[in-house]
Amino acid sequence: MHVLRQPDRLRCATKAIAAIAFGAWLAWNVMWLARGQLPPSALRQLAGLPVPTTGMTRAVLALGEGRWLTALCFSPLGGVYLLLTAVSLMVLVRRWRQRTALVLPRGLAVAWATSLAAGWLLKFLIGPRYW
Amino acid sequence: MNPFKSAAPKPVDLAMRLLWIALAISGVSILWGVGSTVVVAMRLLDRARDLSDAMPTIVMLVTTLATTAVTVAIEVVFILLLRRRVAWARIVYLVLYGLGLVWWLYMIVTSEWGSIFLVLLGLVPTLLRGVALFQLFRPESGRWFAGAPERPTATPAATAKATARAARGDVRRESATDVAALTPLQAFASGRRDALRDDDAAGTPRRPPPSPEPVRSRHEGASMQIRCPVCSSEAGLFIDKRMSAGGWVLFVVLLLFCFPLCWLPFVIDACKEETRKCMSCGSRIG
Repeated sequence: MHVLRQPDRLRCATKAIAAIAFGAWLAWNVMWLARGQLPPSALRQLAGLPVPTTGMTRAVLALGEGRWLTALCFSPLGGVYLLLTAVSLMVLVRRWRQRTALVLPRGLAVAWATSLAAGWLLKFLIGPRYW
Repeated sequence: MNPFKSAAPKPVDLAMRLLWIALAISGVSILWGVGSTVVVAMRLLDRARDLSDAMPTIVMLVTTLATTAVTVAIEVVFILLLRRRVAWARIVYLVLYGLGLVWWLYMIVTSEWGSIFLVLLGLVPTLLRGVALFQLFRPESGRWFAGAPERPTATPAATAKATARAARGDVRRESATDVAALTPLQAFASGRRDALRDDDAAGTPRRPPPSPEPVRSRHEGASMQIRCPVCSSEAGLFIDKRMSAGGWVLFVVLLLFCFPLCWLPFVIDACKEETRKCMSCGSRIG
């Protein structure tokens, strides 16, 4: 008879870091909202670099003004992200109703990774004007 | 009757009450804040000439409401986790409380007289949460948390939870491969009534669960019989998938720099790790 047991300290530590990061994210957002401004992208504000989703708010604003091309420049793959989000939500809801594990199929996970990488690359190719 | 509730020591009971009261008081101030934001937003929307003028106001309003809802939901989740004796929840709650305290002090220093009242309205819940945290970190509370279901204490709720998770698809059972292997009570508790119905319709006695198959140890490469150190059951193990350390790191990165997609690590298989748990009581083994 042998019992296997080992403490998972690394996992607990990363969980605590995640909680701190969540607090920092909340503080960041509340700080900007308290000033009456929309919270900007953290990486662009701190390091001047975009992330794949940087510019989505501005893209929505541009869309609202009817400037389609500008919206596309701000978020070249925004439509793809929305589509993937919709498909992922449908898959997750279906799996939840079937009482199966809430995980995305491998193909969808690969699609997410590929589109995010492509979106990031396009942001750099389009140039800092639309970061 | 909730077994946790009856077993909780006085400091934990007191802490729970204080946390709920603090949340209720915070709710009043949050409603006030959200109400004022909505009023201001409505005025701005009235002045807006078209949709493009109104869009920033709408986005800000939605963001404010979403942030408020998420904050309240997070606090409710943590109170429920504390109620369920999840030991790490009080540490994370302490960290969040510290950050909230810094933010609240910052607001006091920088706010004008118009909003001082709103800031001071946060004083009472902040004090209540501080007292509650003090109670949660008292030695009696520590002993109670140390005996959490993940550690050596088998409770009916933990057993029901383990059974329910085993019946769902997010766990893989090693010793029994189908739901029919559940005992009638376990099948009923897990919502898989179809497992009961088949046997009842046939009028045959229910099949006993199959004998546990040996579990192969990764360390020694040999088959071995596992007996749960908590409940001494030999019902077998099931594999439970939960977020790995790498998954949490990815979550942090996405949260800070790519917020709209921070939920992805929770639903991607590669970000999860397997843990072995007792089929009977849900205790973690290995």
